[in-house]
Amino acid sequence: MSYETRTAEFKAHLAAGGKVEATDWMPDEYREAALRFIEMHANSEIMGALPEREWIGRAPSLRRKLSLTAKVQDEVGHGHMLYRVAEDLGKPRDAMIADLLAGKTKFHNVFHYPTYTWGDVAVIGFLIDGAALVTQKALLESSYAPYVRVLKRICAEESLHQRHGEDLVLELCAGSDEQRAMFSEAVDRWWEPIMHFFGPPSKPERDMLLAWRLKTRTNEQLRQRFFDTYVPKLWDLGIPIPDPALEYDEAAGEWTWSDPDWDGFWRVVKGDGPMTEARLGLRRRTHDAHGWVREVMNQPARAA
Amino acid sequence: MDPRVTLLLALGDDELVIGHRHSAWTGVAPHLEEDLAFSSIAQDEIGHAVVWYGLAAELAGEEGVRELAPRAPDGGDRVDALGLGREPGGYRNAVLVERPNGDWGYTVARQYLYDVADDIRLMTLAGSSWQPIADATGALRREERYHLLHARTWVDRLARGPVDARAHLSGGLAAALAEAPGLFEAPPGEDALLADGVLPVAFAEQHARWLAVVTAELTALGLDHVLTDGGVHAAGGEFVATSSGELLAGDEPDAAPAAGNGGLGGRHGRHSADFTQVWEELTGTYRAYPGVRW
Repeated sequence: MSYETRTAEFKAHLAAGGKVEATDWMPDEYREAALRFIEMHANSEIMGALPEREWIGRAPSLRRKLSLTAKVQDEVGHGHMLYRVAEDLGKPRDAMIADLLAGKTKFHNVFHYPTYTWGDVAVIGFLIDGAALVTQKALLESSYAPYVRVLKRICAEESLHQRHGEDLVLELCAGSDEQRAMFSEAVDRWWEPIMHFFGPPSKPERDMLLAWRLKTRTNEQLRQRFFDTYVPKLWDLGIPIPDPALEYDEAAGEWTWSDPDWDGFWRVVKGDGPMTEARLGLRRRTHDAHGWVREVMNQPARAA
Repeated sequence: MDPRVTLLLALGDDELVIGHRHSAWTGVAPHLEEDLAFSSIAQDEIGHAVVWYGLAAELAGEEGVRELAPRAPDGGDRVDALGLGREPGGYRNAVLVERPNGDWGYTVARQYLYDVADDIRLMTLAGSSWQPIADATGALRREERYHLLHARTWVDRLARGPVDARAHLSGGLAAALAEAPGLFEAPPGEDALLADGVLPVAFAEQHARWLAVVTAELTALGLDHVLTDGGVHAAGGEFVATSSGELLAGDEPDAAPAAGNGGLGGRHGRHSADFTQVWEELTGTYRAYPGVRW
């Protein structure tokens, strides 16, 4: 059977809702697309651990210190699982980490920004994790079965994180004026990165991830779903959202919103975000300092 | 102050401060598997601190907690008041646990020496005449088993690794051993605790038991030289304070410096400059917003 015939059969399998296992035959283009997508997801989990990690040492209570440590640990755990899924597509973890550190591969836009207060921790836990949950739940429909299995576990943990985030938010909003302001200011800071999170509205017919059914929803569908859940919650809390155009258009059955600075989005995509270098730098330093530990792990033990 | 409260604070402060240091590895450990393992240990230790502070708060009562943590908000969480609301001189952790993480060799060495010490301490307290403290040791020891397994696995692996790994481990062990006596420094009021059996075995005797364990284990790994480097006279089971920090001259620049006095003073609230940094980070947010509920 020719490559083209096999590819056509593969596409028909996907179109009929079929799933793909790591050991199945797949077109090179599919393998490549799946690897790049899952690799970036894994990169984002371990890089996404860093902004919140900055507050483990400074958490305001022992209970919060414990829960934040556990939450950041979960994110690293997601990276750990996702790298294993990506590895099965043909790229060793060491190579993926090396490419991340060298700036050859990317991590999600939203993790290139600084944190200033405990309010940022609440926004990350509630809105960023909320946005991630919307995206990841949609990916449960993905055609790549090993990814879906890991995502089921990730979504279960993310649901807990999201409740954790909501708890942080409710506490700040019900607390002192300072606490409320802390959260509100953080929402102001993060709204644009959150709009960037979903990416610019894209042409579905040009999105290869959709064509391979690795994704099944467009950027805009996911953004709208995020608005559905989170805008009313912020309104209920009386927290202003820094977009005067944001409203639900009953007639159109969807939310209207203003374009964020898309040039800024592309700058971050290209690796020029406010904290890109600092976060990658921290990871490079700790990676380089531990070369000798990895060497130990790669060698057989000798007699003492 | 009830000497039991002083003892509980020493136990809780050791756990909190080492848990705080360990937690900083979350996200940046040598590899992902270790990120997950070490973060769990950090969480366990902070959780144990909460157990000890809870007993201390109950015993001290509202008045006692206010006396210990005068700046903590009235009506606030008493465990947080003890954990985050005291002045630096009110913390009774050993100097060893406040040292920066240094390199992975030091981190592993310190975790090993600390968790062997904690094991001996918990075994001792399991026989306490004061039931609440004896009862608390059960759950803690179930978790500490895994900490010890983790520490021993790493010490064993690095000891058998390439020369470079052995050097990192040896440097870390020598630096940590030099300050480990501080873990067994008697807290004020030890005599009274011994007299009524709250503390069944004196810290000096626990120290000797700990030394016997680490001497045997390190010797079996061909690491007995670190005992001398760390100022330990293995034969006599006795510590001799090193006269200066010179023994570390050839070590990693980021390994913790030897205090030169066996790391003593912590149980009396005397700390190194490293503690100031821990205290500021650990308690900064709590102190910045007095009276706020988190």
